[in-house]
Amino acid sequence: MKRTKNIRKKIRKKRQKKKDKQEGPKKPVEPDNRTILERIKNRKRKGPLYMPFIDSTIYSMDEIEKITRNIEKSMADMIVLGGILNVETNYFNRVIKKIKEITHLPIVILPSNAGMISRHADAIFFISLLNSRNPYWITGSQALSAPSVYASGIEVIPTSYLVVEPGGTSSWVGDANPLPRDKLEIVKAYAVYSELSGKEMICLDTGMVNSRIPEKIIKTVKENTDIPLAFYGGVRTLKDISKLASAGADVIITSTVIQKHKKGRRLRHLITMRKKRK
Amino acid sequence: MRIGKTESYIHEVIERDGVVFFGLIDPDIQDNGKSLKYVRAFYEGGADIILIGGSIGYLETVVLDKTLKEIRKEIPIPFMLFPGNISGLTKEADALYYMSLMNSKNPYWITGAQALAAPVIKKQRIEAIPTSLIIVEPGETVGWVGAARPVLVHKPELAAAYALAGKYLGHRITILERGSGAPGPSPPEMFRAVKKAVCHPVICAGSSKTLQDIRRTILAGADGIHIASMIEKSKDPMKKAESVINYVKKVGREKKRGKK
Repeated sequence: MKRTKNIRKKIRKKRQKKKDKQEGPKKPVEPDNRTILERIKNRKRKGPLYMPFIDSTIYSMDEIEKITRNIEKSMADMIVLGGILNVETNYFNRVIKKIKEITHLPIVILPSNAGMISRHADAIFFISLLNSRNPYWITGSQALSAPSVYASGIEVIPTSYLVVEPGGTSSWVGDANPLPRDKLEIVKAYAVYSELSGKEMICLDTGMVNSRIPEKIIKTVKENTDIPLAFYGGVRTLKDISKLASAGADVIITSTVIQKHKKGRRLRHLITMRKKRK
Repeated sequence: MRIGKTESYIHEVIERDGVVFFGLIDPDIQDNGKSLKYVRAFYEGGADIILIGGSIGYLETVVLDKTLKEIRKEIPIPFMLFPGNISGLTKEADALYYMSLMNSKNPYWITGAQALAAPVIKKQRIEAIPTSLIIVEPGETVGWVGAARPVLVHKPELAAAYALAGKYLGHRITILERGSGAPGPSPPEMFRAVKKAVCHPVICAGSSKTLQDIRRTILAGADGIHIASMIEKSKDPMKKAESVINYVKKVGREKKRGKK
């Protein structure tokens, strides 16, 4: 009986220590006057930028707080804020304010629809789902949101969003005609078009097939364009991240799943391991 | 993205004259002689750029190449392409309006055709200027072929929203088009709203019927104007071209003075 009591005491002390450790002060961030796009294009270190994704549409404020604390403790470079569904503007502003209480990392919006905009964010990836079957996701929502993006005054990064077979959730919501995974010529055409039409970034969403990163597709895009490539969708393991970095991705957007997993230890581990190698 | 020679030239002319004059030639390939006559009329009248296209249908690239090669031997001003589809692209032109029909109901006209043409454009090193094409009521032939949902002519905010979205997606020129046969160009309020939203060059494509139309359009903020039928329908194209171009430039200077 006594032994169990002592053990329980130890566990309680350990938990308290851990809690105190968790809610620490914000990590200082090197002052950088450059725009977000410049920081992505001209990276000081070799290797891609790590931008964990926070879904502001399906998690509660408490969960978002926990996720942000986990990200703050990792070696992430910036935060991408977006979602699957829609979000109400006031709530979105509060989410950003909450994130800013916890971390100094820049916040870039990856909008799920018109309306996901806030003047408190640092930049927005102004995306167009180029291979959607529905013009709403190519120019419609963009026209509806343009005035409020203008009013927010934040940095706008023209970005093309390409969905490759089979595509993730974005493919379903955005009614995409996924680019065939094995027809690199078609992927190349859309990548070249992205750059020629004035886009400054490409965001590739492929959905994972047998949990494999499509290295050939990433290499095709990188070989045919001079603009940065961000990869989003299902990035979960160290192997995923290694493959993406070797294939040439400039930005790796890790999924919310690993931010939550084991209190973000996995995320910290992944990014730290990867950064140490480079 | 590096700005090409023709795009820089467009900006220079706007800076210098207040407005760019595009002489639009419908490439009726069978009738080579006629096209050349109009090109000469525009060039000698003082046009800044010769524009090829504006019609629907499929242009044989090989024939277009040959036609242009002949014409360009004697006309030194830049030639730009105003394509109706993925054909009609040629290295013989100086540049291309790389247009996206922003308010089409069919993704083919927004990004599909453009993506399919992209590798050829890049390989041939054609200067492609990313452009937003916005179709305004009534739309006419181009609106019908392009499956457009024409912007309501009395709602300038709609045009401004699409134009701003185009700018945020990387486009550097905005064209407002009502279609050949429309009663006139887009109203001044629309040009004002669009120009205020994007600040980059805004072009009025087609439908100008009278000098008053042209004047209102340019003073409202249009930086460029496409003219075709005014010249084609006149009895003396040479004379008409010269007088219209002189008038356009005069209004351009007035617009510049007004700004200061």
